[in-house]
Amino acid sequence: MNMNNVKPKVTRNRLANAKSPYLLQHAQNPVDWFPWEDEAFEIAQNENRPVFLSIGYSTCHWCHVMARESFEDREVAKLLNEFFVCIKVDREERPDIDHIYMTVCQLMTGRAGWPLTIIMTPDKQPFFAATYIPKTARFGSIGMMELIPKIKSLWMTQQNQIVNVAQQTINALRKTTVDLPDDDLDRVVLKNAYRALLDSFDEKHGGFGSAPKFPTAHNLLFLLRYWKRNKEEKALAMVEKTLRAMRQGGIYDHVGFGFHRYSTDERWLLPHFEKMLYDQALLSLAYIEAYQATGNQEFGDTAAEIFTYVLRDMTSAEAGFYAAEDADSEGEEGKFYFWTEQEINEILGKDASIFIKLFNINQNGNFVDQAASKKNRNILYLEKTRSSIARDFDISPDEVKSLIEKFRRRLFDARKARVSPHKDDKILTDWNGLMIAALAKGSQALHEPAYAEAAQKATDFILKSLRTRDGHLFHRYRDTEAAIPANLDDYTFFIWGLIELYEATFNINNLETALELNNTMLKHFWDENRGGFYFTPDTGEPLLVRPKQSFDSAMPSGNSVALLNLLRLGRITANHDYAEKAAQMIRAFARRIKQSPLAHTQFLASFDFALGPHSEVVVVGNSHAPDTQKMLGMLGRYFVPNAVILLRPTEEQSPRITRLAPYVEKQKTIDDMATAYVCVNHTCTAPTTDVHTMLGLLNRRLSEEE
Amino acid sequence: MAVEMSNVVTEMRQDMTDEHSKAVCHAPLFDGEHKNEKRDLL
Repeated sequence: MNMNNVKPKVTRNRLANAKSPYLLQHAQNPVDWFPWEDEAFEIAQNENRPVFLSIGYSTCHWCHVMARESFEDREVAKLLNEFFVCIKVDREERPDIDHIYMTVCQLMTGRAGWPLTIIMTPDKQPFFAATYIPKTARFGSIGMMELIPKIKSLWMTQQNQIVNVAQQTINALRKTTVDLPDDDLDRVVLKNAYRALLDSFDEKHGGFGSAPKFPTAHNLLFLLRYWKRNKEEKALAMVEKTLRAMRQGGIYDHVGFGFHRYSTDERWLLPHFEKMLYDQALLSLAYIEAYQATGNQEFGDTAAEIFTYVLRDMTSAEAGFYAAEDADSEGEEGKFYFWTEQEINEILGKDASIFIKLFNINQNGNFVDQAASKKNRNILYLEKTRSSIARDFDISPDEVKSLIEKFRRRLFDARKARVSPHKDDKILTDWNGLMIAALAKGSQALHEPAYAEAAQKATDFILKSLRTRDGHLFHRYRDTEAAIPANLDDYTFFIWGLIELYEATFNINNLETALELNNTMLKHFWDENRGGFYFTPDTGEPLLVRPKQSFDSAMPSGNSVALLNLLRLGRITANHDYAEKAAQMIRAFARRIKQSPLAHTQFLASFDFALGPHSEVVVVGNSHAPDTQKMLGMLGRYFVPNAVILLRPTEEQSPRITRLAPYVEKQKTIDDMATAYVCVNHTCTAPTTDVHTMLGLLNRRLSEEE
Repeated sequence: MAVEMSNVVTEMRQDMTDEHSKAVCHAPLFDGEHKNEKRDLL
């Protein structure tokens, strides 16, 4: 390779035509970036150059830091351009690539995060992995200015050994995808997962483990089911403590609502400030289920606040939901969210003192700043619940709520004058699916039709803009372009949303679409040999491995959600093939789950449904009649995770639900009143027109078979 | 099952300080013993 035969600096590189906001952030770098495309690897092959792969996302603080220090720096860019073919990947556009190379980073370093830096051979085999790398040696880490010449020297003189390292890495990576022998699961695994959560529970601050603390809503969803099944009050107590602590903590945006991505400390005080759509969806689901389980209005209110944020700030004109908001604004992490005591005094005037006390504002700042550059900044957080504050001030909890809301509005108005964080406005099918599920469930539990309407509009947008004529989904929409073949999460999360939306609206189109997409997913993602779903379709781009992941991360795994979808669709339609597929999945992943139950809490929440008892509740009545609405409304109000709900509308001669679920064909009303049939395994009790009798029957049938 | 890298590559790496370990937007890993659990999965 002739190292001098290199293009000089560029002003706009090949990322300029991308749709990804993250790639566009790097389109004016002096680094001669390629997107992930064949041409880049062909050049690397032809010129025998290693590939420098950088993976991140547009709202990631440390990605911005590395971009400023290195990718916008002409010295670093010159070295990169001289020696590497450089590729940028938006991890949110290509979670398949991110997943594979993040696994490599975990294998090689024991760490995981973004920006992810991978150096690999021209045939995509990695031999070096790191996360953030400073320009010059710092924090005990080698710098880009030292790393690149070292790699260059090694590549030129010891390429065979580098290729050997790459081969070892590939071998280790392939071992991660090897299927374990089939096994069975029983309820012992639920107890083991519960004990693991109990062991890692932070009694003082809520949450699990130590810093950094992620919300991991699926842990809470699992614990709620464990509480319901076993009447284990500690399981519920852990959920309540964690939800309260997060809502009171700095991880929550007390002014604009919504959750930041994770807490850097164990107290939920100092967050990483990016706000991800999937966290809003999963956490609102957790708060809704906790509200259903306990009736605690604070949980319901928190879910409603999250929805306010999403519908206000994260919804496109076409009704899809945007991906995320940046941690940084004006080049500084968290700047949009910090307050000084002086600002609070100026904005709230005579009311400032009570606010300062409630939210722990301090003249010198109320947290230890890692950078230690500014000491007077405060993060809003509450140390006490609404009820506890009410006792302190001798007022009612509702008065506390009103008081805080009054202050919040004034700060919210003042904050509008600040420079807002960048918004990643791409629309992702998988994350939208989660948000649709949350809004639909929120609509049922909180009796707010506007949430279901927003979910339906988002659904219609995805079906119109992100679905091909032959019924496949795309992963990403932005700037009028739908692109990137959908992955497993796109299908499973969107199907989840459609099922929840059917149960919120009883619009039969949603159920029909869920079934169609589920069949498409089975056709293209199912492992016919061993069971379970691959992350990428059979028609997808060949990568180093074709992952089949079961463990949950910040989001539940596609397989965990697919299991629940199969079980629910199987109960709704009495389709035994779905039940058999679900059983096959459980056997296929059982050994891995037994090894690491804590890593599979969403899978185990789905397995809880599989264990049963589960119920089908069929309401027969006029869709628009108040008695039908009341009956359906009561079903949504309570925490009944292992039931599916169907409506057989009487205003239609031959309703489509009877073709999807033939067992409802013969179910009729009593005296033209809304009538409920509570069924187990599609065998139903005597029908009832009384809502409370219906709920009593449901509770009895769900407990009598344990 | 960590990859045993030859010294060709390990010489490029240095032990990260605690400070550097914070200089990242973390992907979730299991903490403490659970981190091992996750790593056992790999």
